[in-house]
Amino acid sequence: MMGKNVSVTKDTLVPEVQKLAEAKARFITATCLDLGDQFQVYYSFDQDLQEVDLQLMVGKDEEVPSITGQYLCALLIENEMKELFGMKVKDIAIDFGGKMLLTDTSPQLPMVKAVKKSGEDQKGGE
Amino acid sequence: MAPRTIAPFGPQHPVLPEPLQLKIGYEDEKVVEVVPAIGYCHRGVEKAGELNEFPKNVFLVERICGICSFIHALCYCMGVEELMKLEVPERAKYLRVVYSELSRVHSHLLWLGLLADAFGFESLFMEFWRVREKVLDLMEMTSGDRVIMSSCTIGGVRRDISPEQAKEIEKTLAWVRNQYNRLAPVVLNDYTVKKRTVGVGVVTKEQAVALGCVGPTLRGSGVNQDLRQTGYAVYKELGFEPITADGGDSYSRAVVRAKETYQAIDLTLEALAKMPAGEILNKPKGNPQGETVMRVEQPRGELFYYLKGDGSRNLERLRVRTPTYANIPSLLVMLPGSQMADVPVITLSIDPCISCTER
Amino acid sequence: MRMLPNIVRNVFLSPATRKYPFVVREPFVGSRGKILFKAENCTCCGSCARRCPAAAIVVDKEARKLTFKVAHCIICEACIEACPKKDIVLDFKWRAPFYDKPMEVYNCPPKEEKGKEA
Repeated sequence: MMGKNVSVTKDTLVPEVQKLAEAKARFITATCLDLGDQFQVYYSFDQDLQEVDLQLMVGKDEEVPSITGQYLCALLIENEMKELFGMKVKDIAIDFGGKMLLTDTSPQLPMVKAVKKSGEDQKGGE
Repeated sequence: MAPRTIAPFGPQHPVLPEPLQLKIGYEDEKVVEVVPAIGYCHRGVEKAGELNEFPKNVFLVERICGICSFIHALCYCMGVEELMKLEVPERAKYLRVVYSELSRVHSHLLWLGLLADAFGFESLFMEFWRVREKVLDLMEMTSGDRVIMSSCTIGGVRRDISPEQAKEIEKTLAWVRNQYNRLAPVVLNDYTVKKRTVGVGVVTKEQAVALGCVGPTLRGSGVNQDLRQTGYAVYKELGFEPITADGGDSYSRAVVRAKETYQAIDLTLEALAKMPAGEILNKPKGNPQGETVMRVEQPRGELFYYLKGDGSRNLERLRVRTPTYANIPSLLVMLPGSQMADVPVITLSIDPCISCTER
Repeated sequence: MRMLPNIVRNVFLSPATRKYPFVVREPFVGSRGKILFKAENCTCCGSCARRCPAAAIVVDKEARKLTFKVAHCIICEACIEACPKKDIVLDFKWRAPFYDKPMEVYNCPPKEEKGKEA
């Protein structure tokens, strides 16, 4: 079951997170989805075992501010979103520069949905 | 001013059982700064979850981690059952609780052994693992495999426990409790163990919540939060209360895990006694549609799954957040200020599981 | 010194390990050892190949052959549950290690004629 859903934009993201930090909420994680022309990001927080989600829609070229100023624990997931999806996040507290999980020889931006060519068959269970 | 040395701890180290790297800055044997680095075990499970058909994902997801593999499968199956609006029979819910609590017993016995190994107490390490072997034998007898149980499936469980097997489980768990009664006081009350763990790696209550800690790391700092309080599967009928400890140091975390082992043995025996007769599987029909979030309690903390289905055989998005992912930033606060010889003990006290973290 | 009673006890007890390979424990009933294909009643329907999560079974309907890649198999029993003729069996004894990856090829019985002649 999804928790309470609050829509934010990239300008109102940091004030909303600041309000949750003052209410002593615990940061759970952030989930990024690729919708084709934009990214949809859910920031999930926990308040006494009740879930609160902040939903952010952002274009593929826009820059998103980092929330590591309020929640230091978000640095791992923001680095991962930057590496695997190519989402632009600025001012992360410790920035690994795209080298945290992937190397130079691995496939780049693996989680972005590839454009389906016609007639291509997907093998199940490799 | 003392000169600063930067030495790496990991990814290969005799005392560290996980491939995690911590670049530690020392000033004369005192830790001053820490930078973590992960990425030695990344397998791309979230991407593979989109390429597989959704029933085959159960086998993928339970191989993310070996110690807590049943609970990964449980969380995934509960998420898909919610997307497909599928009801699970009562007996299957009780069986899922039995297997989850057996996983918790063997995971905590493993951790207690590794803690003893971290400060060189090898004979205690071997004693805990000798007791753990009987629990693994129980898992093989009932579900077929010692480590990757493959018992949970969408709609219920695959194998039933017969009355003879239930008697064998009760007899073995009585033996385990007997042996554990001799070994737990060594961890909880021994003078040398306390000297190495009390006051080492302290996290206060406000820091624990602000850093996003979960599981025994959070409960060892006095915060009364455990996902089993929400009552998924049949925890509401079994009457469950979380265990906390004040102090926020490695000793409190060890106390929480040692007491949770007793509680897990009690919960297993209670679930076996109260199990009703009936079916164990409700066959699924159709495809998952919609999005949902499912959270359960692993031995190491809170596990978070986000699933999105679009009506086809493949899921659109599978997101997994494991408890060690949330506990690693707490090392940035625990390690500075401690001595060099305490670094393995502090790193082990959060119970790291890097194959869960990296997926 | 809470460990001292345990140490004194352990001096007088027998070892906790078995002398493997001279003493071998019998596997439990239901233990996941290896998958055996009998191929006596196989109709080459392909259900096992569709359900296998590791893509370890390849069914060729025209040539009536079933190829099983042993090294890919994760012994999950999905094929055993899928087979409508109950032709696949679980063996409890664990499989021995191998040096090169074996592929087992089975010949399925030929197709029955539709409509029996009187």
